[in-house]
Amino acid sequence: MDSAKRSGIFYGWFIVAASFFVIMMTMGARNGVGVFVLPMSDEFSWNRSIISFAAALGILLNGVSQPFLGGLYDKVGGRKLILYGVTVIGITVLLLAFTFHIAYFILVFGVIMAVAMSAGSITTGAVIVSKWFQRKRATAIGITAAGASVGGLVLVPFTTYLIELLDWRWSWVILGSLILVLVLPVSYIILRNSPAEMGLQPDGDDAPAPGANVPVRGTAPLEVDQWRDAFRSWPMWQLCATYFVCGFTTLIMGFHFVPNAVESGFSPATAATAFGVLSAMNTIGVIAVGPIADKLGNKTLLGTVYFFRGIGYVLLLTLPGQWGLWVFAIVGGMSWIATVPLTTALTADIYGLKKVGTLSGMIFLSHQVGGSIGIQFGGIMRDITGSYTVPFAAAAGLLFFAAVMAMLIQERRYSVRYQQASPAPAGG
Amino acid sequence: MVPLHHEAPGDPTLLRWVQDRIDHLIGLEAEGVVIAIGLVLLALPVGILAAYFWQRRSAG
Repeated sequence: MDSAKRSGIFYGWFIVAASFFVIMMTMGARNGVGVFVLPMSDEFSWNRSIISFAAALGILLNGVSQPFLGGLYDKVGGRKLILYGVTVIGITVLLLAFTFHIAYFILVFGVIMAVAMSAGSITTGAVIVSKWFQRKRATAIGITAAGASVGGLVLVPFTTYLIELLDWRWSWVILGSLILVLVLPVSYIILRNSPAEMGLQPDGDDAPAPGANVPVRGTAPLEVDQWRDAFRSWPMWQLCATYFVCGFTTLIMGFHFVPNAVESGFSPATAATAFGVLSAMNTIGVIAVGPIADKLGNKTLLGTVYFFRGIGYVLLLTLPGQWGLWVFAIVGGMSWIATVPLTTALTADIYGLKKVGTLSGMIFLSHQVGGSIGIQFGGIMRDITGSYTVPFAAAAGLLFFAAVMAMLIQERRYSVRYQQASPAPAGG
Repeated sequence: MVPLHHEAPGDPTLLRWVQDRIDHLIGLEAEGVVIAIGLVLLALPVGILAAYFWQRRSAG
């Protein structure tokens, strides 16, 4: 391994590429379950609500399990956790081919796979990458997180045509096999927990020569050894609150976009095209925010992202005809996953890397709680008021609150990026 | 709708429309689309591993 570190591409970028591929395949397979709903429902006479239950259970368990798997990450390291996670995800996808009853589907998809997704998730991928970069942290996490968008864009059509060509059982087999045969070897060969494991420095910096008088990297004042300590400071609560709003405002739209579009008089074709625009935009958005954040700081950009998503909601509600839908697809789409690299980078920058897995899991849990409440709130308010105006307006209001909350994070005071390097120890 | 944000399943009705739109745009048979995307899926890990082994070999 030593040979791979001395010249050429910094090894951290291999970690980014491997993590991107892991997220692309696991999240793509997970997102693609919607394609299986119709053929499986036809065969087993399932109704939509029972499948929604499996999906809702999966979202909840995914959120609840993330802090525990984050804790495991901090103990055993990301490489081992991701390898186990990818293995279990691949096997569960294969097992879905043998579905014979809804209880089996709920157990495999809604429980086992949902928990395993916390090990091979965008959160663990972002955390392992955060250990390899400091100055380019948001850029690297942004590229990694884009795997989620690309996975949906590539694997959902792939699965759709696979089912048409074969059937749903063989399609699960092929998807599971692809995860085991392609993702597992790449993860096994490439992933390493930290640059120190390979004698490297974050960002590919040169290691100090023996005896050289090199300043020691700065330390963040709130760096924690125990995850509980993070909750004694404001930034942790601010990050949880903003990510709660992120979950609320993305999942409410994820579940209620189609009913809203249909009730507003748009054709499914228009909604589908808007979906395509939104997906393309979130790929661009998540990649674009990284380099900007690495130059200008994370919290201002995070606040800006929430502000513009809020504007997207306002325009969706106020612009006439199709304009609202299109503007939302562009503005909202740009912001969709852009919060992930900024939030993870801020967490690592402020609280250090020792417990970043657990802390990112905690913050992700608040995201999923917000998402669950958003889905329920959207449905309940739609039933009470007869439209989505109130829940979408509430989402916009929450986003402006999140924008202010993000802006109030004292990044310059607490982030390791702004701490002065200490002089080298005397005689060192 | 596919939220594509953390983990959540996609809406089957909309995914059917996405398929129709792809059919309309590229006009390929199912075999063609599966093979084309399958090659992309294969190229990614092969590319990553090839770059890794190439760098390892050239450095050492």
